[in-house]
Amino acid sequence: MNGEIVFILEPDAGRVTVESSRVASKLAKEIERDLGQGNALNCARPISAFESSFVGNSDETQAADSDNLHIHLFRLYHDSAVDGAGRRSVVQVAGCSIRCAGCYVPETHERTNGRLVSIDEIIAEIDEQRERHDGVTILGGEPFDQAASLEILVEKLKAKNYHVAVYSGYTLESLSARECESVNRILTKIDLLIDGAFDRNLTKNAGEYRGSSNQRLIRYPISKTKMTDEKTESTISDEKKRKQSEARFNEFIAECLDEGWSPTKCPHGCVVEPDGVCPHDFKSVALELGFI
Amino acid sequence: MPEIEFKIDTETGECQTEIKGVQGAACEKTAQQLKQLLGAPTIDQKTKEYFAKPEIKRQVKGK
Repeated sequence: MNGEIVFILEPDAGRVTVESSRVASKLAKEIERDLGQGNALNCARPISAFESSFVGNSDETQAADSDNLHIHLFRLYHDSAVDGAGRRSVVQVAGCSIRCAGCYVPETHERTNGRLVSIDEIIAEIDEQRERHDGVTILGGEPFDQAASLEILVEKLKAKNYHVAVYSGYTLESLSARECESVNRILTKIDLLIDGAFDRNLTKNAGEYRGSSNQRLIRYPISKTKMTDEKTESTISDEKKRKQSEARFNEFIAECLDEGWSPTKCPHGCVVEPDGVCPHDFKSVALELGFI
Repeated sequence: MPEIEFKIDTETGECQTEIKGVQGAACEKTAQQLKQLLGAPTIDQKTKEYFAKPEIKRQVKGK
């Protein structure tokens, strides 16, 4: 992999973010000379000095492990540009039952490395920093190891209309197979699931927000799961069903694009006019393949 | 939040520019301005988000 420098300009905020990977220190110093001293930003492999991140004030001794109103939190940080679309506030939980080889954050594996923090306290911190993010990402550790607490956290975030993304080392299929009501309800509520265990042999071209190429971006994951909670099922309105269908279509398009298809490059091999699309447009193909 | 991302490969010098969070005509206008500054791109393509908008109407033409 070649060295890479990414400049992100935010015209509204008047901010420039510079991210570098495998770049010579001389070049990094030149950028700093031209743009001035920067502030450290979190990255996919978090830097060890992360003193400003929120770890909560709750006293562990006052909350039992079984209390779902608390969650084992490793840290909470803001302004992440790598953990989902836009700027994210990130809730990183402590404790992981998967422990992938080569994990970038092994320090999150033990629950004892985090603190049991009140979910309301986490929400308050996220609310307070509302201007600094476009959405919230929950990662770990393994968030679904604390499914009951995660459900409450997700529910409270969605009640405030936040875009919520969750990472899990478990696949959507294995999460659905648990037939756990909390897990199913989480999957109905979140906007994006990034699933699959990290595989250090598949880091090349992993894709946006992912650590390895086996991991998937799944928008509105409930559209692929079978609801087991009758109460939840009965509350799904036609509007929700329409949205689910739309989400499946959008996901299908994203998958097509990942495969190199586009409206001007039909999977059927049609030659397409520059200003048009072939009869096999995405919607037709999606219908044909039973995606919608 | 609108963003313009410039990704520069330090070995090949290739620059990949992506406009995020700017919709419709404003995005096209921003892209035009960037092309004026940086020159014509070797590859010019819409992002996934552009195609993912459900309200987009496509012109369908047969072969």
